[in-house]
Amino acid sequence: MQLERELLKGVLPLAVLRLLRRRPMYGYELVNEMSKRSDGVLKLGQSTLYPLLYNLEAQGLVESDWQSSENGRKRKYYKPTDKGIKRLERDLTQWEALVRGMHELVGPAADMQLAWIRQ
Amino acid sequence: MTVKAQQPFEVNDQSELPDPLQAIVERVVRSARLWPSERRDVRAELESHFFEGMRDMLEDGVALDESIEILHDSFGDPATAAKLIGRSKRKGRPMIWKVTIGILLTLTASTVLAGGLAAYLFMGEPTPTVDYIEQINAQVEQTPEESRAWPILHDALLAFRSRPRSEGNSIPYPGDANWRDAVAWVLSNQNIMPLLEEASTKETYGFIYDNRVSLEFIRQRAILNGEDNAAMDEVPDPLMPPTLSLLLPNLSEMREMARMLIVDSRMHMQNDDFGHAFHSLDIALRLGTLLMSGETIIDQLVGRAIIEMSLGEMLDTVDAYQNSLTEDDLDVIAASHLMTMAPDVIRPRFEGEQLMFRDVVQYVFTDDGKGNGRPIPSQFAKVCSIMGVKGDGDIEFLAKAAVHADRRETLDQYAWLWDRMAELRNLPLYDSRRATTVEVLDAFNKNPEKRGRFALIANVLPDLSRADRMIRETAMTQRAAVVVLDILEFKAKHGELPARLGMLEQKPDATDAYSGLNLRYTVLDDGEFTLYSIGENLIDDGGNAEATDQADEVEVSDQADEVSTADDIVYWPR
Repeated sequence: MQLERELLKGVLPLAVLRLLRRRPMYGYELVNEMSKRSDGVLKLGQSTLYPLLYNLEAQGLVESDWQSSENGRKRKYYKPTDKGIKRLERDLTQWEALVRGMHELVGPAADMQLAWIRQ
Repeated sequence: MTVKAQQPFEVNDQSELPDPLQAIVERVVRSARLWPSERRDVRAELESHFFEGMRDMLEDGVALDESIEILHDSFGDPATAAKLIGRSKRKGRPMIWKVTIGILLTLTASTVLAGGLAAYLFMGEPTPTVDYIEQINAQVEQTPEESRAWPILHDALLAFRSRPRSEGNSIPYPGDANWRDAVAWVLSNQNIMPLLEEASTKETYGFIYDNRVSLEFIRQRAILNGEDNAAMDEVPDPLMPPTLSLLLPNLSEMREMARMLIVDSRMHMQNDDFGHAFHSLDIALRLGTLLMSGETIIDQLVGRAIIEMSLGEMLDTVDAYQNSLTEDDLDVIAASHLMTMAPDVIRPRFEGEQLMFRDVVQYVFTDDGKGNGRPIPSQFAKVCSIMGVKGDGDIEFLAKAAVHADRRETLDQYAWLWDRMAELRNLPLYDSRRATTVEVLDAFNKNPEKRGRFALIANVLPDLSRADRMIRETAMTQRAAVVVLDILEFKAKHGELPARLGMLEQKPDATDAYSGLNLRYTVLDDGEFTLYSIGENLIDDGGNAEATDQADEVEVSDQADEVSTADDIVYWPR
């Protein structure tokens, strides 16, 4: 299932920061990981992913560095900054409140989201 | 999509990206408007992205061609990606760059704004189609030339020597310091007296409004009086409404000639010659009434001022002679213009103002040929400036033009106001229905929104109500002067004053313009009498022109709120 663009827009920074807090990732890896962990719901195109990463970087929420891979090619890894982690904590709190509110409205389906967030 | 890729393919630091994917990278990098370092970074990252994708899929057993196609199709729109990437990267640029760009954008915006403002100021050009001066002159030309006074007055004025500048506007009396100079001035102008007398007998004023002729007139007057006339060579502005640029040099000169006639009268009085003294004043009065037939409100207001001046002097002259008037003197009075003029000579008639407003409109608005159009800001500012409208200069006038109503709406509003004023002019000052119309007009004049939307009307339309009242008051002065002279004639014939105005044989019109009743007439114990109007405040102060307002003690008419606290207007005693 693909989400509406506007709905996705507010969620993606939170999702990206959430994944990067687990470990630093490069762009392609991030796309795959997000798609896999969201069961294909948060499937990003590259034309969305890189502007999003550059935006987070411009805001000082993530930082990047180039590292060599096993095949000799370089990959650009992203990881959250301290500011990014603080933002993530704040947004997660808000998101949890939102999910709980939605749970009251739409039922147990929202609980799945909450479980995913807490992973 | 047709893909030609090398086989076998290995992802390592020497690998080259297949053409379709490299084309995407290049297109994004080229379109994103990035700095070189940013381009390098984005190119490397996108290439890395595609290599990782290919490697991943190859490991999963996807054929190379298929993996390229999948990556190609899943990338999305390169143009959108370029736009978003460019925007995101620019956000991350150093503050100094952002400040510089901000300044440049501000400068650009200011330039565009200034350009737009300049275009706004000067866009549109008036396309006048009607010669309103010609229409005004057509009214004048309805009277045959031999019945017009101006051709004779024109000749008289070209021979009329001005007073020395130092004398100001006051008219000296015998014994005053500048009396001798005034006498010399009158004597130097004796040659034009017959012309003034002849002109004063004509039916209408008959001034033709023509700036070319007026300029020549001014030039010749300047030569006669040895004055500088350099300013008269100015080229007229072709975009200025001609009715607003009308030269009326005749008016100040007419007033000067009336003053000269008053000095002439005083000279005759000095020689104990009542007949000639009164006659000179009667000529001045005639000149004033001639101006009442002029087509502009300025003509009429100057005419009214000359009439008031002449009537006041006439009453002063009669006052000096009231106990020694001879039969001959009474004959002179009876034959005078004062006593014989038609009752409606001094009356408000402002029709020419409508033509002038239409002329202004055709120079301030555009015209689509169907009566529609928008205000032209630069023209609006020009008219405001010429009209002497107070404001903070052109910018304020231009701002007013920006919110002004369009051409048709402005003319409709003017017509509406004009009709209300016509209602006022058709009602005597004492008619209670005037209050309703005054209220309606006040509602327009005191409404800031209306005054803003119709600023042209608010600024160009003269206070016709006030002018109307002033002229009606002057007509009352004329009636009062006639009544005074009839009373004095009665006294000369019967040896006593009439007990009431109804005893006067001539049955003069003694209507008080403000009350609609007769002027107040009282015979005093000492054999004198008083004649006065109770004035605009409708309060009888007993003939006291400087009485304090005692509104609490006297009955106040229901029109009191319409008028000021003006006191009685006393015509007699002097």
